Amino acid sequence: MSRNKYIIILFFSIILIISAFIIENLMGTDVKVISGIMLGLGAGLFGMSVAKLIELNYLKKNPLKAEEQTIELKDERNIYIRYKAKAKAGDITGYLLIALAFICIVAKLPVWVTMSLIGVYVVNFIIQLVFLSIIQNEM
Amino acid sequence: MKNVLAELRKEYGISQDELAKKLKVSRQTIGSLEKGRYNPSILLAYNIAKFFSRSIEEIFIFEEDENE
Repeated sequence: MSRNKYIIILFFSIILIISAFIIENLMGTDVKVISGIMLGLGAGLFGMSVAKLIELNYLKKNPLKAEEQTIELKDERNIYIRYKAKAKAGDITGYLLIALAFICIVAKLPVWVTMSLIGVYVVNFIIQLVFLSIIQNEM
Repeated sequence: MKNVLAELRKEYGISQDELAKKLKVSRQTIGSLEKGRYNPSILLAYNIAKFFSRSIEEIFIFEEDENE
Protein backbone atom coordinates (compact mmCIF):
# COMPACT_ATOMS: atom_id res chain seq x y z
CA MET A 1 0.00 0.00 0.00
CA SER A 2 2.73 2.41 1.03
CA ARG A 3 4.76 1.49 -2.07
CA ASN A 4 1.77 2.12 -4.36
CA LYS A 5 1.19 5.50 -2.70
CA TYR A 6 4.74 6.63 -3.51
CA ILE A 7 4.53 5.26 -7.08
CA ILE A 8 1.38 7.40 -7.59
CA ILE A 9 3.18 10.44 -6.13
CA LEU A 10 6.16 9.74 -8.42
CA PHE A 11 3.92 9.66 -11.52
CA PHE A 12 2.13 12.81 -10.35
CA SER A 13 5.47 14.59 -9.87
CA ILE A 14 6.65 13.60 -13.39
CA ILE A 15 3.36 14.89 -14.82
CA LEU A 16 3.84 18.16 -12.90
CA ILE A 17 7.40 18.62 -14.20
CA ILE A 18 6.43 17.84 -17.82
CA SER A 19 3.34 20.09 -17.56
CA ALA A 20 5.50 22.94 -16.23
CA PHE A 21 7.76 22.77 -19.30
CA ILE A 22 4.82 22.42 -21.72
CA ILE A 23 2.92 25.37 -20.15
CA GLU A 24 6.01 27.60 -20.24
CA ASN A 25 6.78 26.72 -23.86
CA LEU A 26 3.18 27.19 -25.01
CA MET A 27 2.25 30.31 -23.06
CA GLY A 28 5.62 32.03 -22.64
CA THR A 29 6.69 34.20 -19.74
CA ASP A 30 3.12 35.10 -18.71
CA VAL A 31 2.82 31.88 -16.71
CA LYS A 32 6.43 31.79 -15.45
CA VAL A 33 5.29 31.94 -11.80
CA ILE A 34 2.79 29.07 -12.22
CA SER A 35 5.22 26.90 -14.16
CA GLY A 36 7.91 27.68 -11.57
CA ILE A 37 5.65 26.56 -8.73
CA MET A 38 4.71 23.41 -10.67
CA LEU A 39 8.37 22.65 -11.41
CA GLY A 40 9.41 23.22 -7.78
CA LEU A 41 6.57 21.14 -6.42
CA GLY A 42 7.17 18.41 -8.98
CA ALA A 43 10.90 18.26 -8.29
CA GLY A 44 10.28 18.13 -4.53
CA LEU A 45 7.70 15.35 -4.82
CA PHE A 46 9.92 13.47 -7.28
CA GLY A 47 12.90 13.53 -4.91
CA MET A 48 10.78 12.56 -1.91
CA SER A 49 9.01 9.67 -3.66
CA VAL A 50 12.23 8.28 -5.20
CA ALA A 51 13.95 8.43 -1.80
CA LYS A 52 10.98 6.71 -0.11
CA LEU A 53 10.82 3.99 -2.78
CA ILE A 54 14.56 3.31 -2.40
CA GLU A 55 14.10 3.16 1.39
CA LEU A 56 11.11 0.78 1.10
CA ASN A 57 13.06 -1.43 -1.30
CA TYR A 58 16.02 -1.52 1.10
CA LEU A 59 13.75 -2.37 4.05
CA LYS A 60 12.05 -5.12 2.04
CA LYS A 61 15.45 -6.73 1.48
CA ASN A 62 16.47 -6.21 5.13
CA PRO A 63 13.52 -7.32 7.32
CA LEU A 64 15.63 -7.04 10.50
CA LYS A 65 16.37 -3.39 9.76
CA ALA A 66 12.68 -2.86 8.97
CA GLU A 67 11.68 -4.32 12.33
CA GLU A 68 14.25 -2.13 14.10
CA GLN A 69 12.88 0.94 12.33
CA THR A 70 9.29 0.03 13.28
CA ILE A 71 10.32 -0.42 16.92
CA GLU A 72 12.13 2.95 16.91
CA LEU A 73 9.05 4.59 15.38
CA LYS A 74 6.54 3.02 17.77
CA ASP A 75 8.72 3.19 20.88
CA GLU A 76 6.69 5.05 23.52
CA ARG A 77 9.67 7.07 24.81
CA ASN A 78 10.54 8.15 21.25
CA ILE A 79 6.89 9.15 20.66
CA TYR A 80 6.92 11.15 23.91
CA ILE A 81 10.21 12.83 22.93
CA ARG A 82 8.86 13.69 19.46
CA TYR A 83 5.65 15.21 20.88
CA LYS A 84 7.59 17.20 23.50
CA ALA A 85 10.09 18.47 20.92
CA LYS A 86 7.27 19.51 18.57
CA ALA A 87 5.41 21.26 21.39
CA LYS A 88 8.54 23.16 22.46
CA ALA A 89 9.32 24.09 18.84
CA GLY A 90 5.73 25.35 18.48
CA ASP A 91 6.05 27.46 21.65
CA ILE A 92 9.35 28.97 20.52
CA THR A 93 7.91 29.69 17.05
CA GLY A 94 5.07 31.57 18.76
CA TYR A 95 7.54 33.74 20.73
CA LEU A 96 9.58 34.32 17.56
CA LEU A 97 6.45 35.50 15.71
CA ILE A 98 5.74 38.08 18.42
CA ALA A 99 9.40 39.17 18.43
CA LEU A 100 9.31 39.51 14.64
CA ALA A 101 6.09 41.52 14.84
CA PHE A 102 7.81 43.99 17.22
CA ILE A 103 10.84 44.17 14.92
CA CYS A 104 8.48 44.97 12.03
CA ILE A 105 6.90 47.79 14.05
CA VAL A 106 10.33 49.24 14.99
CA ALA A 107 11.57 48.88 11.38
CA LYS A 108 8.42 50.71 10.22
CA LEU A 109 7.52 47.96 7.76
CA PRO A 110 4.06 48.00 6.14
CA VAL A 111 1.22 47.33 8.59
CA TRP A 112 0.09 44.23 6.68
CA VAL A 113 3.42 42.51 7.44
CA THR A 114 3.00 43.04 11.20
CA MET A 115 -0.68 42.09 11.07
CA SER A 116 0.13 38.93 9.09
CA LEU A 117 2.63 37.85 11.76
CA ILE A 118 0.13 38.56 14.55
CA GLY A 119 -2.53 36.76 12.51
CA VAL A 120 -0.36 33.63 12.25
CA TYR A 121 0.25 33.79 16.03
CA VAL A 122 -3.50 34.07 16.71
CA VAL A 123 -4.32 31.22 14.30
CA ASN A 124 -1.65 29.08 15.96
CA PHE A 125 -3.19 29.86 19.37
CA ILE A 126 -6.71 29.01 18.12
CA ILE A 127 -5.49 25.71 16.62
CA GLN A 128 -3.88 24.93 19.98
CA LEU A 129 -7.18 25.58 21.80
CA VAL A 130 -9.11 23.43 19.29
CA PHE A 131 -6.70 20.52 19.75
CA LEU A 132 -6.77 20.94 23.54
CA SER A 133 -10.54 20.55 23.41
CA ILE A 134 -10.44 17.60 20.95
CA ILE A 135 -7.77 15.72 22.92
CA GLN A 136 -9.51 16.42 26.25
CA ASN A 137 -12.70 14.92 24.84
CA GLU A 138 -10.81 11.89 23.53
CA MET A 139 -9.17 11.10 26.87
CA MET B 1 10.16 6.38 40.02
CA LYS B 2 12.79 3.95 41.23
CA ASN B 3 12.91 0.43 39.85
CA VAL B 4 14.84 -2.82 40.05
CA LEU B 5 14.87 -3.39 36.30
CA ALA B 6 18.69 -3.42 35.97
CA GLU B 7 19.03 -5.93 38.81
CA LEU B 8 16.31 -8.17 37.38
CA ARG B 9 17.80 -8.00 33.90
CA LYS B 10 21.23 -9.00 35.22
CA GLU B 11 19.61 -11.77 37.25
CA TYR B 12 18.11 -13.12 34.02
CA GLY B 13 21.47 -12.70 32.27
CA ILE B 14 20.20 -10.68 29.35
CA SER B 15 21.53 -7.50 27.77
CA GLN B 16 19.62 -4.23 27.40
CA ASP B 17 19.45 -4.90 23.67
CA GLU B 18 17.93 -8.36 24.14
CA LEU B 19 15.38 -7.08 26.65
CA ALA B 20 14.49 -4.22 24.32
CA LYS B 21 13.90 -6.67 21.45
CA LYS B 22 11.70 -8.90 23.65
CA LEU B 23 9.62 -5.92 24.78
CA LYS B 24 9.60 -4.31 21.32
CA VAL B 25 11.04 -1.02 22.57
CA SER B 26 14.31 0.76 21.81
CA ARG B 27 17.49 -0.03 23.76
CA GLN B 28 17.60 3.62 24.84
CA THR B 29 14.20 3.20 26.51
CA ILE B 30 15.54 0.31 28.60
CA GLY B 31 18.59 2.40 29.51
CA SER B 32 16.44 5.38 30.52
CA LEU B 33 14.11 3.14 32.56
CA GLU B 34 17.03 1.58 34.40
CA LYS B 35 18.49 4.99 35.22
CA GLY B 36 15.05 6.16 36.44
CA ARG B 37 15.01 9.01 33.94
CA TYR B 38 11.83 7.80 32.26
CA ASN B 39 8.64 6.42 33.76
CA PRO B 40 6.97 3.78 31.58
CA SER B 41 3.36 3.74 30.48
CA ILE B 42 1.14 1.29 32.34
CA LEU B 43 1.21 -0.93 29.23
CA LEU B 44 5.02 -1.09 29.14
CA ALA B 45 5.18 -1.57 32.91
CA TYR B 46 2.72 -4.45 32.52
CA ASN B 47 4.77 -6.01 29.70
CA ILE B 48 7.96 -5.73 31.76
CA ALA B 49 6.25 -7.29 34.79
CA LYS B 50 4.85 -10.08 32.60
CA PHE B 51 8.27 -10.76 31.06
CA PHE B 52 9.93 -11.12 34.48
CA SER B 53 6.88 -12.92 35.98
CA ARG B 54 6.62 -10.32 38.73
CA SER B 55 4.02 -7.78 39.72
CA ILE B 56 4.42 -4.15 38.61
CA GLU B 57 4.88 -3.09 42.27
CA GLU B 58 7.78 -5.50 42.67
CA ILE B 59 9.65 -3.84 39.80
CA PHE B 60 8.60 -0.22 40.06
CA ILE B 61 8.80 1.38 43.48
CA PHE B 62 6.44 4.28 43.96
CA GLU B 63 7.45 6.81 46.60
CA GLU B 64 4.80 9.09 48.14
CA ASP B 65 6.81 12.31 47.65
CA GLU B 66 6.91 11.70 43.86
CA ASN B 67 3.28 12.75 43.68
CA GLU B 68 3.91 16.16 45.30
